Amino acid sequence: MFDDFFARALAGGIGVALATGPLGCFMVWRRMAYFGDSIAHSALLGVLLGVVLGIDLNGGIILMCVALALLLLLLQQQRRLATDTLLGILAHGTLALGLVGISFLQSVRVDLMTYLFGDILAITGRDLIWIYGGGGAVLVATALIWRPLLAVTVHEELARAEGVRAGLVRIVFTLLIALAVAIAMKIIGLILIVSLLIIPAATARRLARSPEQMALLASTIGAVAVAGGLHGSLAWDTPSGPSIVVAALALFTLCHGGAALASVFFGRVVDSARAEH
Amino acid sequence: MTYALKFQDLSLGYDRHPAVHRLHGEIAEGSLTAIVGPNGAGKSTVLKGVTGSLRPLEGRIAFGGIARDDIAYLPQQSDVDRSFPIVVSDLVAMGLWREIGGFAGLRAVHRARVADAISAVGLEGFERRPIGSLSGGQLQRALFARLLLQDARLVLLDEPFTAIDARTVADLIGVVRRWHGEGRTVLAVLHDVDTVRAHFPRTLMLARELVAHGPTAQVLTAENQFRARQMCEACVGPPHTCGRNAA
Repeated sequence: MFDDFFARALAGGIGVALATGPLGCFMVWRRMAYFGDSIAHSALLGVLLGVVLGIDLNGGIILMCVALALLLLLLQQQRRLATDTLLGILAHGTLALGLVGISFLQSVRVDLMTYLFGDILAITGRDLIWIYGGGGAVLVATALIWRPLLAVTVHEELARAEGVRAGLVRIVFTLLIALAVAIAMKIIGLILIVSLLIIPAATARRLARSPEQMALLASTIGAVAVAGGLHGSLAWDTPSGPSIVVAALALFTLCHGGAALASVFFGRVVDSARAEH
Repeated sequence: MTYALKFQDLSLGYDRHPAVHRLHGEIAEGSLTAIVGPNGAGKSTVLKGVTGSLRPLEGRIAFGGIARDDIAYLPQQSDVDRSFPIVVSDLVAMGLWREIGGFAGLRAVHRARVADAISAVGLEGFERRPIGSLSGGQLQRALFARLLLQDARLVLLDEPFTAIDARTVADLIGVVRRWHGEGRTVLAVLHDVDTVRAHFPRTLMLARELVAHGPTAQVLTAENQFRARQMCEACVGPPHTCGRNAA
């Protein structure tokens, strides 16, 4: 039924937005957008792993994302290659490996478009359990490491000196990103997934006065983008995943553009008032 | 006199290339010591060795009854992300990490201590201000307040007065002198030799190895400063180009 699949899509999208909002804030603060992208690009290898091992594909995606996240953390310790070079190699290397590997599968047909761009309208009841169970776990874990993660983000060396176990915090945070990426795959696909983490957080940054406020706003803005994108997708028959990202982008532009215009306008008003005096 | 720190043939460095070579000597408990030397002399490296973020390549640092969690450390200010949406009181309250850990909330007694620390560094009225709206000097005052909360016996400061206004420098030197008066050991990396002469009774001069250590007037001589510059100039480039390697 029309109502059923739309309600499931809306519920799933909002669930993902709520879980990814706070994590997205830390990705923005810690300048880790490309890091998230690299993890997301490995998801296709996870699909391949799931098929080859005969396990649940979501499980395969989680395993691969977590493995790549840990590999990235390990490789960042070396000094021969800069981090952005490393991320570039792994992001595109794993995506290419996944595409080539899947092309060898004879017995199973994998719908690549679903994994690349997501298919929120095909969300099932089982997917919802997965999204709300996994998303809830991500939220709880984020809340548990909130204070040390915040301290490490503001100033890592200072936090370390004060006794925060920065290495452990970074590992847990990276694993949470991997889990969030795996959960959000179905909604938006691996190509656009990081945009759902980054754009709402970057929008909220303009409006928030505290980290907690920014996290709440990011989740809310993400949920609004999901609802707006889905409605747009239905109204204009556009692909759902990209429509959600376009809606998020519209909110970002509205917020930042509006604020810039306001500062120009009010700046002039203040300047002219000063001139009159 | 008991020591707070004892450097025993200490070599510290990065990727097994020493930035500080065979440092030896004692920092007396309750002393106020400046670490000086040309750029690249290994001054900040010594502080990182004391905090434990760098492990010795050779030798060791002995702590005279001071536990690792009794050390407060202020790194160079440039690393703080000023666009982070956090207000002064929350930034300062992070100094209570060892007491409240990751989960406990701030109790009334903690809030009072945060307010006292903010007031002690002259930032009263700035509690709810975002750190992005602070000047460099005001941010440094806030970071000093964070140190005050830690109530540590050993305080390490890495270029605490760089790029801040004269009035803030004077106020923060007042805080440092108060720590010294309370019997805490203070070790500060400094560039301005006039500040060192005026306020720091003892000085440790480095040029990748020890040049001199003792009363400031005896250490900060023209001869020692010239020698330190020459020693550092002989080692232009990465530390390993000096021809010194860890064992």
